[in-house]
Amino acid sequence: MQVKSDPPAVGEILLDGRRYPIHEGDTIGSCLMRAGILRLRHSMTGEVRGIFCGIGICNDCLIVVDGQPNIRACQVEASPGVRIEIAVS
Amino acid sequence: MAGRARLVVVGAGPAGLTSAAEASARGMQVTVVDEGAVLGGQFFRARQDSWAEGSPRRLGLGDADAQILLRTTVVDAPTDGVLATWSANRRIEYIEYDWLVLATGAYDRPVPIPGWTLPGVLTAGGAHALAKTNGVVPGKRMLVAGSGPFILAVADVLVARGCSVTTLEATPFTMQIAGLKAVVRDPELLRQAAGYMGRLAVRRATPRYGWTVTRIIGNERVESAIVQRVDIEWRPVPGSEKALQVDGVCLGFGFVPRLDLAQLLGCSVAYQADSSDYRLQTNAHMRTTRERIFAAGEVTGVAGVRVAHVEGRLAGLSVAREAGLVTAAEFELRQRDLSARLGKLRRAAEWIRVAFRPRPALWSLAQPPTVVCRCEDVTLEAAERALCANSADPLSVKVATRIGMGLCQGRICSPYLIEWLRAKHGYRPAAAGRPWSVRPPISPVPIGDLASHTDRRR
Repeated sequence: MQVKSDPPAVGEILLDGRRYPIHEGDTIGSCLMRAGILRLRHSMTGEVRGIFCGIGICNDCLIVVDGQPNIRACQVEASPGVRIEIAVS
Repeated sequence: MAGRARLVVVGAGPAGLTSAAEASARGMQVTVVDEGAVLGGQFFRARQDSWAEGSPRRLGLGDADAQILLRTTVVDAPTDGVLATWSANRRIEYIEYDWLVLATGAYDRPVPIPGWTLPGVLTAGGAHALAKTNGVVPGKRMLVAGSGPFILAVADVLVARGCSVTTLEATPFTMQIAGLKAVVRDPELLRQAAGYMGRLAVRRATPRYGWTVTRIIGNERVESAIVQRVDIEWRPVPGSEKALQVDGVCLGFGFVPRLDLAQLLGCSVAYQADSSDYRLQTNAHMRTTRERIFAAGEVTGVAGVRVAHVEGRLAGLSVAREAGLVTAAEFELRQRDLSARLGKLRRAAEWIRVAFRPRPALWSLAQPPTVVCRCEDVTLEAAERALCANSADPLSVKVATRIGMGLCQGRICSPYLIEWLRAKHGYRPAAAGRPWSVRPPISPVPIGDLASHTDRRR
């Protein structure tokens, strides 16, 4: 969700045909969280998951970026124009 | 300059950076490797303008002093003196070292409770990093539950971001006397604690002591949580349940050292029974049980940033001494000074560690259907069933259930599994050696890149 004193947007990422503004220093995970998107993945048994550890340890925030699977949303910087997909098990 | 002694430092947090600065100042050829996009590790990630001791700005480590490889993960130690790294740009690369400093830090102690896999449940460290670095929070109404000073820092950054926050400290206030003694004797800690408590009081987020979260509820994300009073042993008090409407939960039950690389290198780790964690063993000079491999910071036992940077100094100095770049007399003098400072700082950290240590009831919050291994979706029930046919030790349960065989390689579930077996099933961890194997790649690597590495490894 959006909070006070955000830096200005520097580009956009795409998810399900919608655009989300990137702010300086954003990872894909922080960019999506700003828009209120917490659900990033389905686990092996179909549970919904999102960012948990936030520091690249747990691999629970894996997303698909420009067709490349298994990208940690909490670690990878959001670059303008990338297309995100939520992986379904 | 061929022939200079080469030091590789893994981890660019306060411990890694100070050891790099120290060794570089003595004329070593230093390379620093870190997964992050900026220097400073978890502590200084969002404090890039800080001038505090151990901070990137204060140390002013530049390209002239060290080769700095950011966004780079160590994935293997294929032979003595070589580390394999992976990065998105350069894929697999090898770096050679004569000496190594492991400053791999720590991460939030994972604690399975019902509902902890829902989106919107974050570790305290993760929520802190997101709020502080990127200014984002999982929701407007936040619950922060755990034990130890760090939950104050998390609650503080959340209220600063406009959240309404409920803070629950599991350790009863009366049990914190030991910790309080350390705080009042220490002006820096006192100032910090007073700052947090003042700001939290203004925002009605003052911690409730002797309370914790016992269930998180939601469909696609966190919608509410059940909080409960706990006794001095952290056992939930029946009948004290209260429901809270929240959009996010931060779990902060302290930190555990990140040991995967140390273990892969064959360095000895020790079990600390009263704080329920494993730490890398080092001698008075910060050397591990392996020649030429040193360590500093949280990986040697969680004790905070002040201990980390002094350990970093000592590790860097010791490496330079072994490389013959420091005279015996100078080493002696500086080592004595650093050790004295360390002794004092470690005593303060020890009070806090003891006061807020996890109590055994923490390992009973998970219920039979609770997923305890998030990678492989193994439930507590499945682990219990495995015990019927197997002995109550971590490896047997791992083999029978696939707990810990997923992408995180047990970083999230193994601390719980070991403590659950210990608390409920009579498992006795050995004093030395962790009952958990580590295999390369210690961080996931795209399969194509891994293939090229396997060729090289042969």
